[in-house]
Amino acid sequence: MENSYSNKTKLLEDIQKGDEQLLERLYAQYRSEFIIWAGRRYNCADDTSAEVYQRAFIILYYNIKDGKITELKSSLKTYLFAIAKNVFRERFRDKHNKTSDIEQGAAIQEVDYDIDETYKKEHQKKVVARLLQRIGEPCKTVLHLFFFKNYSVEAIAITMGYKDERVVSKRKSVCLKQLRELMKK
Amino acid sequence: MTPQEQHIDRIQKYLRGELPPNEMTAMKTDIEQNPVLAQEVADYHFLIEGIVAVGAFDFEAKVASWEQKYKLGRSDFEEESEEEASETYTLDELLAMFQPVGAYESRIAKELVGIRSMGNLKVIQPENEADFLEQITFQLENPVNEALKLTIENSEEDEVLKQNIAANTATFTIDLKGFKPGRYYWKLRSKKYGMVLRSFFIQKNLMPPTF
Repeated sequence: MENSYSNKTKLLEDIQKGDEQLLERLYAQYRSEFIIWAGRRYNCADDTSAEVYQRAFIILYYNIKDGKITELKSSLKTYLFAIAKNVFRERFRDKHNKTSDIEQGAAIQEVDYDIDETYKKEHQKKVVARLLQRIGEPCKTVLHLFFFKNYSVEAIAITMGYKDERVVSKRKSVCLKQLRELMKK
Repeated sequence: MTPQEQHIDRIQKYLRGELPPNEMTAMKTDIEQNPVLAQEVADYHFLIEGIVAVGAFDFEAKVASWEQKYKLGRSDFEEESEEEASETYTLDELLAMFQPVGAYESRIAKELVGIRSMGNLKVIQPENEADFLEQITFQLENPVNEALKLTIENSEEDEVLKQNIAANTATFTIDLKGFKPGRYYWKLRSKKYGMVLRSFFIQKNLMPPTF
């Protein structure tokens, strides 16, 4: 799939747009190779490798979507595997740290704080998901494209068939205002 | 844009760090001096962060569904049918599918702790909130000498299955193929012996962690 893109910039652009078919094919393209490579290098079970692969793929997409990777100096596979190495490193470090914390009987407060934060984030996600469901289209898509996918107002105008970017900017503000009003009800 | 829309545009640009440095500083000062504005900024911050979190959840669920195909031994993306391709759900869909029905939950809770009884019909299995995939098997403590009525409702209280169970049946199995993931409620009714109400899940692993 990556090989069929002669132009790396185009590949990056299509990933940044969140082209799902492309993303799914890229996911499939490197998976088997990764599982074999990770199994040999880290001596881990396929399930662990698959979890790491998922996480690495998600991070790769976020990095491209959020503009942290703006050009491909190597192949996409190189980036993906490099991210996966970091994910493995974090997993090993976390495992080690957790054991140390328990041994020292410390970090309980920190754990409580994490649980609290996690709960708040979950609550926030749930509330906003419901609000988005209530507000409906086109607000839901406009807000998703702008705030999650980081589309420019020009790109949203093209995707949504709006006359120009001023319509998008207006729509975005109106939708946010409506969302807040719904939240306050 | 109206002045109000421009005001919201300014807030969201501030939150995304897109204002020029002098305007960022001016905005910070305004927020410090104006509690109403501070609340407004906090609300939009909550909403924008939430939109990003919902998007991330949906994307990560999608990647998990791709991975799931390998676990189920279906790794051939080319031959995947349209029907299979559509079997991923967004967070708001999952929230709706796993949403508990307050009135039912309350009745079940009261019955389980013995505060309320809905009759003498006793069902040994399935246990409340059990998780199923393709079929659900019912087992009665004592078969009754009259036909029973089984209904299954989804989390929106839509009746998705209605079936008569012959008199004197002790065990029976219901096919769940074609049921979407989610929270369901079954009601088994007898004219003489009352009703049993319980919930069950299909693919509970997809339930958002907030429930």
